[in-house]
Amino acid sequence: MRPERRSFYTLAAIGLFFLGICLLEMYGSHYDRRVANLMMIYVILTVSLNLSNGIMGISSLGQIGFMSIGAYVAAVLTLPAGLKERWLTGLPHWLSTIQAGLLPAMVLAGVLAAVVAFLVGIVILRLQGVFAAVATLGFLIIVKVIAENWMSVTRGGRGISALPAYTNLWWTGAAALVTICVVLRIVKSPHGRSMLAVREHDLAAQSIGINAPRIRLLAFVVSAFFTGIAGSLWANLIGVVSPGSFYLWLTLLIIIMMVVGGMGSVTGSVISAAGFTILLELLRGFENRIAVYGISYILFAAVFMLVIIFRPDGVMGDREFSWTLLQRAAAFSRRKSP
Amino acid sequence: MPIWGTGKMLQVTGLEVFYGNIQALHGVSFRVAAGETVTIIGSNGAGKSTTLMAIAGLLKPRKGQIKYCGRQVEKLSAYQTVRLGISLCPEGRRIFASLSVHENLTMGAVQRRDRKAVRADIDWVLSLFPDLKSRLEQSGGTLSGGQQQMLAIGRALMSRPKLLILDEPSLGLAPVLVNQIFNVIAALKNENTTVLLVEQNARRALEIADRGYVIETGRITLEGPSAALKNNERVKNAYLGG
Amino acid sequence: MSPTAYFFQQFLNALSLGSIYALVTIGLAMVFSILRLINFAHGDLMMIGSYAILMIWDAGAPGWVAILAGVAISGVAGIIMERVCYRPLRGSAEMTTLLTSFAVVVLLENGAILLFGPNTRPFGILNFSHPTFSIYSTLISKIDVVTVILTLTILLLTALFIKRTTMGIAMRAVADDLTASHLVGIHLNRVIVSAFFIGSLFAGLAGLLWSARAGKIYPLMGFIPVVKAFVAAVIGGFGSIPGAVIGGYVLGFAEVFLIALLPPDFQGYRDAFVFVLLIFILLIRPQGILGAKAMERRI
Repeated sequence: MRPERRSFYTLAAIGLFFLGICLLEMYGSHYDRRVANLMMIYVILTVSLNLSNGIMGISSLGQIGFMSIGAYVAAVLTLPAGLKERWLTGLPHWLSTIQAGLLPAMVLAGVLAAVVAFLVGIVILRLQGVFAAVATLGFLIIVKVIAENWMSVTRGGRGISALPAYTNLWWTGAAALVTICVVLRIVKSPHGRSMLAVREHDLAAQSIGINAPRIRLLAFVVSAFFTGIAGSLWANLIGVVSPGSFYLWLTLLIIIMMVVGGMGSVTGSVISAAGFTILLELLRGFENRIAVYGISYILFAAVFMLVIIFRPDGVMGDREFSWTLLQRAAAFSRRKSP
Repeated sequence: MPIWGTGKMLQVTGLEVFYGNIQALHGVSFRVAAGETVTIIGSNGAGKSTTLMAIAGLLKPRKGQIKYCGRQVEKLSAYQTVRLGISLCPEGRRIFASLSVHENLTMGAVQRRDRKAVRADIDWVLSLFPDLKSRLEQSGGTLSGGQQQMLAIGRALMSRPKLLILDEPSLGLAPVLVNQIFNVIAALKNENTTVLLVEQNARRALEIADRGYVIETGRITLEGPSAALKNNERVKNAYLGG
Repeated sequence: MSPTAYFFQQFLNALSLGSIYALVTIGLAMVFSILRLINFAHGDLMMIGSYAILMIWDAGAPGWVAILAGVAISGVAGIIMERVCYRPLRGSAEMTTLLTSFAVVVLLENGAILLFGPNTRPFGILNFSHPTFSIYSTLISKIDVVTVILTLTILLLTALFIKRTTMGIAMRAVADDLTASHLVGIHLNRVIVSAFFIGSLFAGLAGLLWSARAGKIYPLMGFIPVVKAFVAAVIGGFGSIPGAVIGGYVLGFAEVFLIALLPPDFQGYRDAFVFVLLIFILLIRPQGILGAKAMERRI
């Protein structure tokens, strides 16, 4: 397929995507929009997790800690000033008298998450494999413990509620699109190739002059940046942040989405995150109907184990969806069914 | 001399083993009669260790048969082949480094329940390798290379194997120790133990063995009585240093 | 209270907490040394054991029957866990099994929420836990004494098992060299199942002591202890059984004295400090303080 043709298709798809957002924002029910927003947030989370864990091969279980940081930053910034003065007594005066909009909250959430990732990464990324996994899990627990105990800023276990519902599909859709584009850009760049080289063979990559620690830190920080943004969008979508929201279940959920989509495949992550969001909502509906809660967790965990046993590379492996792939698949199916 | 009338203790037919997509063995066939000492010689990477590991049940062949005492054993796991009396002393010794010498020997008899006989066999192994006697409580990792090799052979003998398979027992050892190892093999041979020996030191191997096979790139290319192989021009040139 | 009495009280408290950590860590280390599997779901066996004990006790069984049966159930649960969740993954990368164990945690904890509800329940068995007695004006709670004595007995038996029995030696052999253990005829599955069984029994027992200490149980109770047991394992050198015991006690003492030293406002941050400690130790000695073997893909 010719390159102009490919970029035409891509642009058309992006156009359709925004048309869909436009339609949903205009005609969709509250519930539809909420699910679509969640879908976008999960896409951001899964794609950015894929950058650090799949493409770069960092064994991180602490990703949701960055989401937590982003969500709390957004909560502290966007909470109405009156409530801030009453609840968050530990804030400096200038902070407790302002109420920020979504864009500054998003940016600051991303930046702060990235800064924390930078500091944490310098330390933790020196570890390998399972040790990195447990250390990052330790980071996740530390974030949760701080959120639970720093009463004057996070309001502890009660969480911060009554956040303005700033988040809409334009924001989440655009943020998801930017995340996907940036991550795809990184993957196709020389940095991306270095990441794959480091993932496959750390020492060999270093011996050909790749600065492995730096490239790992880069992936970790970029990933945390977008994860923090996802946290801010989540905070202003759900309206409440509390320490328990950003913990094991969400960690496992995005890992499931990433693994099933294929570690290393950005488009696989997008498809998988979208699919699982819908599945999750269907299951929620089912749980509500029979009034038994928690089945979705159990089912998801079981599905994950089955996937890991029978299809450990996920649906896409580390291939990417492309128009050429689609064309070939179509040609293949035409040949099969005359 | 053979214990089983037919004399065929081990019969390998058309063995093919793959590592992923790479074929390591292309139809290896050979046999070992009971009471015999047979050697397989060949260069590095020819498929010697692969053949032995397939017999011991560490690798599953894709094709071919391994018949041992009249039973098909190519699908069995290692603990099952040990139970049937096959014992492989692996290349590189692989003794348990953090276990004591005594514990290493105990592990060699892990499947046996006859404790008294096991204790007697430990004494027997120690009589074969007197060097180990004073080091029973020392951990395996602290032994010298030669002592480790003796321990590895001793451990393999502790299961009272009908078929003892030795993979490169003299590799990397000083000449004195090589002699000691081969003396023990000779002693075992005199006790009617069936031995399958893989060696880089083809000269010594052919001296001690009754028959021999030459393996090259995963195929048996020559076979015959040791004396004949020793005088074969090709063997002389390739393995006996001209 | 005199400073000496206070110190002694804290000392016993630390010894008791360390005992529980040691019990949990042994199971974690045993399985890790053989399979290179970090089983986060190990902590949930504490939860399963505790709930089983409570259920059986509530049904009217005498306390000791409930305890024995509950601990046994925890052991069996460990065997089932290995068979269903981990055996199909034999030979997979370490990260795969680690993520699987993470999924098992979510599965079991939510299963428990489904069965027993999300709320805490009082754990009144071993009721003698709260009564205390006093020696030279030092208040001593009986549960601490029971914990320490019971654990020390078990540790002694474990040491004998590991040192003397064929299975114990076989476990060490497998941890040393997997291929060689195959070759000498060690039946790997039996060793793995034994390790899971023993570790799970200890986890069940630790669950009992932990719950009796806290006086309550809840479905998510196992997670923090198991991650802390990992910290203990790292302190002691991962995969080593004696290291696990030492690490458990070091962590117990570190934690109790941290609480004693921290100002009251910061006591909630205790766990955060523990995990900062973990990251710190991993950094200066990535392979553990006593030095475990290089981490590599096995089996």
